[in-house]
Amino acid sequence: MNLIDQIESEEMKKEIPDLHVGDTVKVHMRIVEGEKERIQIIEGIIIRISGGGIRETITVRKISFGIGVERIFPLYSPRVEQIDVVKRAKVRQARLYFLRELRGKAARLKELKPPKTEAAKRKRTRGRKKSTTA
Amino acid sequence: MEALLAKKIGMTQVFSETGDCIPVTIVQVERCVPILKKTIEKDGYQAVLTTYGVRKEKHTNKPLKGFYDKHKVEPGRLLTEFRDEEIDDDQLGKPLTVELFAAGDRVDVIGTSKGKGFAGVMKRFNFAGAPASRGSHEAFRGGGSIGMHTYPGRVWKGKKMPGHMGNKTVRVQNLKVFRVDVDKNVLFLNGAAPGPNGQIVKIIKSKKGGR
Repeated sequence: MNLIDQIESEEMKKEIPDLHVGDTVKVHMRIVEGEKERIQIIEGIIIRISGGGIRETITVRKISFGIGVERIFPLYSPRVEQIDVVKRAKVRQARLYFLRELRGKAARLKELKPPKTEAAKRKRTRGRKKSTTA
Repeated sequence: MEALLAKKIGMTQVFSETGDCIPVTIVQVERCVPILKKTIEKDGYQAVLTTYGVRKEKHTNKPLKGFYDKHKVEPGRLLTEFRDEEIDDDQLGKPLTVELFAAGDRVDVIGTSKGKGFAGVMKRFNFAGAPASRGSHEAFRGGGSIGMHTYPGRVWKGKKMPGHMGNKTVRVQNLKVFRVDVDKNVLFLNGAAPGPNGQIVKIIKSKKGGR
């Protein structure tokens, strides 16, 4: 491990949940207004995950009063207090920019039921292995 | 002595307590040993001669070996002087550490910039170049005219033209020390330092030293 990686891994103090593109998340932002500090919750869909390690960021898109708003959060910033995953969706793209063109009902994603059983996981990996050997 | 030789490890980013993302250059001090003092009385100028790194036995020729043995220091990879620095006699031969600096100090970093080869005027001096369309042809990245007519009948001295770029000694002034890691012997400098990763750079307490 080189020194940069070592320093970066030391800086990554926070526990971040397993995030995927298409997840609906609640980001708890710490906002400082003069003397006061409060937590603001921003809920939306992750349309992009970019960067790696301490540079990792997510772009969260939400519709706020009828207007699409996107915010980029550095995951390891101390201002991001907490991230909750509300639901997951089935997605086929790495970047969900097509959502920008869509409004209302069309902008929904097909929900993925979260509890994946161990058996189902094993089945999937076995199938993949077989296809590579054949 | 408020100067060090250190190895540029590379750049990364860290977050401050307030949540600001700060670009930092990581420099590590592996082995930096002051060897001898030069004084105005004896040498005509004041400096501290310092060595950095480790030199293998097989690469140390006899004159070098003799020099290092005389000062009872293990041979180092390079020898550099720090002009106008002072040091106590009992500090000679003892490795310098990053504890010379504290978080919040301002430092200058001196190193050799990356060589860019023979570069045109757009890359070298940020000239605008010529329009890409609207009837222009051939001279897209040229510098344009280089002078006038009968007067002066020559090109002014210092005219910016294509030529070799980089591979020069560069001093980046007034970088803030963001953090000092004594265990790893590492400094976090807020900003960029010249040269490639792995290069040995000089770190000197800032001469202009704004706070």
